[in-house]
Amino acid sequence: MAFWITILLSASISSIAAMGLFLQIRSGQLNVGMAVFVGIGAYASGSFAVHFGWPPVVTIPIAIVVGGLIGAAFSAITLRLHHWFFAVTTVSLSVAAVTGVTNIPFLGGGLGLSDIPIVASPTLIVLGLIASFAIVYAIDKSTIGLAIRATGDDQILSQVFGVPVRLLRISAFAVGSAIAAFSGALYAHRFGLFQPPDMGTFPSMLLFIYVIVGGKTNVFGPLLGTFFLYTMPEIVKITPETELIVYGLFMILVAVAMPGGLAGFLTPTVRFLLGQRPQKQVGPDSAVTTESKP
Amino acid sequence: MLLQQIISGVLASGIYALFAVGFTMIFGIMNVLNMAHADFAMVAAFAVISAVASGFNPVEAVAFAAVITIAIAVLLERFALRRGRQYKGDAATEMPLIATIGAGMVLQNGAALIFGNKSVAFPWQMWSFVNIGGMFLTQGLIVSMIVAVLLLAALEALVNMTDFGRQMRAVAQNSNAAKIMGINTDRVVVLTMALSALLAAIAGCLVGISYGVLTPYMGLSYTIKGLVAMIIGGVGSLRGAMMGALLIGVVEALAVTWLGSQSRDTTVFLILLATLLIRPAGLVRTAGMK
Repeated sequence: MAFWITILLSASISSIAAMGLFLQIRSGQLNVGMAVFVGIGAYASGSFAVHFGWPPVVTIPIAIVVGGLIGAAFSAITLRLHHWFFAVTTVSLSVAAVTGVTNIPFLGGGLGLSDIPIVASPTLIVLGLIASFAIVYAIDKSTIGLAIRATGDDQILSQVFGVPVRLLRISAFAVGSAIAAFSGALYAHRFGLFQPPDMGTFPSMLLFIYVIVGGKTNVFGPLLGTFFLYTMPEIVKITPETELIVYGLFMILVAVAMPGGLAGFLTPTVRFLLGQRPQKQVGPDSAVTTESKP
Repeated sequence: MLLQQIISGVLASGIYALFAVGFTMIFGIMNVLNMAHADFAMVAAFAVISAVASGFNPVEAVAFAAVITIAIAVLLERFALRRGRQYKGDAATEMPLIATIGAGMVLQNGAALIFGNKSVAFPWQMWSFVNIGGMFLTQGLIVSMIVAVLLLAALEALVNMTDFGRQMRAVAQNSNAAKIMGINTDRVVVLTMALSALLAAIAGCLVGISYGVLTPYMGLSYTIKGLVAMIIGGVGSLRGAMMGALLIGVVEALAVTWLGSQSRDTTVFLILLATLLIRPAGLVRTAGMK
């Protein structure tokens, strides 16, 4: 039982970051380097707690603010980049961030920041998960969320309709990074240790997979994806290497057959169980053009 | 000393140029970023290692590696990318991108499962230095630069002079118009994918010859350098990609000399950011493949 609680708490921390990433992907910014922003939160909160002895009540909000500000700055710099350029820039950022952090003694250098006070209790983590989900859900279901979705679907078209594309891109990215930084702070205060590889390409890729496999068109997607991919390897009992092959196959499956991910796959079932009418989905994610074969 | 560093940077850029050109070809033709491209190189290098270990001669081993790599690339295009490209709007570029990231993970971890997650030595290595006019240069890098230049010249000739090259340029400019004009676009796409896989396979062998050891996860650093070279040069431009690779090779060599070897990745990222801020369209502006 204790084992499962550990797994589920880790999944909760990851799913907070995944929900931040969901918001960013929704606004058309395919961030494949999200762990960098998780790392910013962990290092901000951790280093203030370790070097100055400030209490977590102060350092965790600092981490959230720092994460949001750096996210806003990054998004403002990369404003002109579309999906694939953005993805490349973020991959490159995550590689650069690891080597960059390794050279900063204040952040513990290559060995990482250790002796961070362990204060993240299960209650705090669950509360944080609920709060993050509430924020992301509220944003996504509001008219702002609709405008964010429009930005992600077609930037030029939404600009024609008067959507403030630049502002929305920057703020969606900033809020997403702030949530990721919160997740990083929780991670640091739960394990007491944060090392440079924790913000590298591999954890970033995992977060990206959680959102894509869970479904990037539904708020429940990142939650579902994270918890499914955390618990599935434990139930089926596969080794870490095979686990990643299975994740990769899942990604291909999502790209080919179920663009809505797990959540998009389950939505009709849930609607049926709730007695609602099946909703006709609109938008590019559900529509496949019927291209005639030559 | 400075000249020596610049020359080694130029030599190292041959391999980067092969990757960058592969990326830019796929991107020009299919409008898809192939994140698994550098993993094709890894697959080819490991195929050569296992073929040599089971007693094939070098020519057969390289041919075997090329066939395996091309087969994987064509299967990937047919089963993972073709359907994704038919989605509407931005999903048409997003879904294939996700599929190639997934394919890259499958290839990397599949190789790690078969060969173990460790460095494997390449059967032929050219580590020794040659002294040319007082400068010490690695033999392997000189060989790879020569091979890269020959291949890129052949590619330029293919794109600019042959009928297939004209079809490629047509598809790159406007896929629908090309289809109306009677070009079998799917065939062009599959052949381009095969061609880029062949370039990746040769690049993988050159990496093995020049640096000696290979790991299943070596693709990532070449993915980044190739993509950054492509973006610096201007997407869809073959010459731009070569120029971008040259710039990265030289800057990287200088950064290692002046700032130490840890600064390598950070420098590449800074170059990328600077390019995107100053000239977001890259050094060479193009419409379609040139």
